[in-house]
Amino acid sequence: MNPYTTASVTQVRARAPWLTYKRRLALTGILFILPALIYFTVFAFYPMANAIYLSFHEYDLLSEKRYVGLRQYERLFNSAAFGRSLQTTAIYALGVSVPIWVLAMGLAILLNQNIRFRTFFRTVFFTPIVMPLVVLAIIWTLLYHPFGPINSVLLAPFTGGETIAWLNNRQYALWAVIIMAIWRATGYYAVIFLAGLQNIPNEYYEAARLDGANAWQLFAYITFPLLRPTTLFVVVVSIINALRHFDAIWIMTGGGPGDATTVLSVLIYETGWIGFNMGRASAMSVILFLIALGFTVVQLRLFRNNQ
Amino acid sequence: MNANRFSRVALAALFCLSLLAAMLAPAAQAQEKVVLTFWKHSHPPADVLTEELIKEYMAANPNVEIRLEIIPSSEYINKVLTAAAGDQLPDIFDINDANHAILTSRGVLAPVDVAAFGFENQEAFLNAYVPGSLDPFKGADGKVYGIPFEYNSWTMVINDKIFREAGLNPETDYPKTWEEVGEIGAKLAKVESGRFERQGFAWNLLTPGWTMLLYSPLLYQLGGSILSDDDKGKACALNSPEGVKALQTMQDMYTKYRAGAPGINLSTAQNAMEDFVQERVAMWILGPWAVPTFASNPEVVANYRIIPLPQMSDAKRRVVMLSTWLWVVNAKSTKQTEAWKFINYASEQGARWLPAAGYILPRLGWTDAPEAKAFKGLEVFIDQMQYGRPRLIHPQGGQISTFIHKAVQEAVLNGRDAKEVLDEACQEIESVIQ
Repeated sequence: MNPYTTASVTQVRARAPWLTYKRRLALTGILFILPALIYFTVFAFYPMANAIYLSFHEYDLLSEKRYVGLRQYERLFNSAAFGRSLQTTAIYALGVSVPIWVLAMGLAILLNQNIRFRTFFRTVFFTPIVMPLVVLAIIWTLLYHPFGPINSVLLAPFTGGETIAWLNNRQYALWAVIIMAIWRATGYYAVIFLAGLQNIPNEYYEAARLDGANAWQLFAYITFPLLRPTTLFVVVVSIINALRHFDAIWIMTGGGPGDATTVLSVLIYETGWIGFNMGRASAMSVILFLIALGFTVVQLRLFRNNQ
Repeated sequence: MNANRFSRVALAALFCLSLLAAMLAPAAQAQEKVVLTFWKHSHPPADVLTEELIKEYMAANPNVEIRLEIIPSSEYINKVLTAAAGDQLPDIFDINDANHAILTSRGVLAPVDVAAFGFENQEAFLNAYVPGSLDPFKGADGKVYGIPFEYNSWTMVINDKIFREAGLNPETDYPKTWEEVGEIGAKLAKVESGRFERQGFAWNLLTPGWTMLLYSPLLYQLGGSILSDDDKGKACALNSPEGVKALQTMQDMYTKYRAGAPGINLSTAQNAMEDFVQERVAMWILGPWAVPTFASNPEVVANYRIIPLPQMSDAKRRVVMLSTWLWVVNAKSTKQTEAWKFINYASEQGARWLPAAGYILPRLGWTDAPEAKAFKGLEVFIDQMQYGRPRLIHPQGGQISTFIHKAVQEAVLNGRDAKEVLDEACQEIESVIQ
């Protein structure tokens, strides 16, 4: 039989396997990501969907859920405590993140220099992020004690022995937890910036120096622009992380004094697990998620436009 | 089959049967064994005695196995709630008074099996307890839904040594009113270069639970209440003149009398008793559970004195706060009778609970024991119970306590106006109780 007759071609078409090469590639890819997808579905997407669902109900974990529509959201927007918490959260998130951007970038530039004991310094600055947060929170609580080292040693020459109740005075408590958060996270983001710096070809700096560029010009025209993708990552991730901070604040101040450090994550915990009001806590979580999402979208757009 | 082969087959069969019997025997025993799961919140002195009692009970009842899980106090109620929502509660667990009412009203708890306690009827059972002590733990059906094992009357402790150093006689010069707490506290305080090396008196505003135990007695003594109609109503009554005066009295300790300074103890009071045990404060409010924690400082053990809780000088009623922890049984447990039998055994050990953990059990019959007589201050704790009032019991009690805690912290730690903070608290309270 002529292999090129219609009949033989038709026969070949009928025998084509379902699992083509392209499909095999696609299936392999899906199988590789399936475990992670299952994990995220079970531990991230499902709880998120459940929280959104609960936010339209009244639920105290012990009774049946009662559908109340948008009432939880209405109550929140009429709640002065919720408004104050949003304000505190904004101050905390920006108060932690903005100094981190500056300090981490500066630290990364310093750690990128050829200095003695560079490895030691890189390790030391990174150590706070790997230490257990609970331990750090307790240590800082003692550091901030009215008779602790910060008051008695560091500040005594300036305050004449007068003690500052860092964690128990509304004026200082929020800044006390912000300082601790900055101290802990700066090294982590410095390492990220360091990775970005090491991707900048040295030739650019050599060429610029040959043209007579000074240190500031090197930073402004080479380092900063080329670090843009890293900076975007640090800005977005640091803000999202700051919005989620809970453990250290809870241990150090319990959200107090009063509601001075009651950021949204603390208010959600108090509402859900102390007040047994899961519906209201879920509504707060949804609002927090929307804030983080909105911020991320805005940042991405800004960076894209500037590019 | 020849004889040799028959013997070999018979021996093999006998061997197999023996193996099978050996495997099945423990399984058969296990089937008869009743396994009870028991959760308790962590309080180290009590944890030790609980484990001892479990060992004793299991030795006396070999068909019962009790599996104890001790859970850190900070996460205990979260774990209980989550387990309740997921039908994973143990057979026996402990719960505090504030959450007991909520769980009872939701049908989570089983009523006490009085027969398992060895009583013919409810009346005989109730007669075995301090009159009225079980009333707060009855459900709508009149049955009792838990056995209190830690019945705290929150009164005051002073350090005799510090009193004498200040030229005061601790037997007669201890404060009887809150105003006297401030005046005497100022004399007992040690201030050096503007720094309180020792406070005469301090408020422990670490958690909403503690704040409610400190603020509520002043409020109730003045005739006020948190909710209208003496806490039975549906409107917030916190910002009444009585509520404002109670909060101002708390502020006065620091601002008017200078008996202490705001917040010093909060930084070290991860363990709430720490400052009194280390003699950094001369007078403190506590329950009997705290007394065994003095053991780390023999000076304090030798010099502590329990005194009646001070009252407002213009008090309309004498009030002392009560707080309780109870043993309860899961309503869905299939081993309720066995569970109550163990609880009965544990609740008969009043003379052991007191020295070990400072727990006063309201079950009668142990207060004449030598261990009870050796517990310094027991007679004051017991006497104060007659004026006892539990903390607010309300389905939204947790949130209400948090709002009050924040308001009190704002006023006492940050000097804000008492009426202003209570008005704000009332706004929040009414948004959750309506």
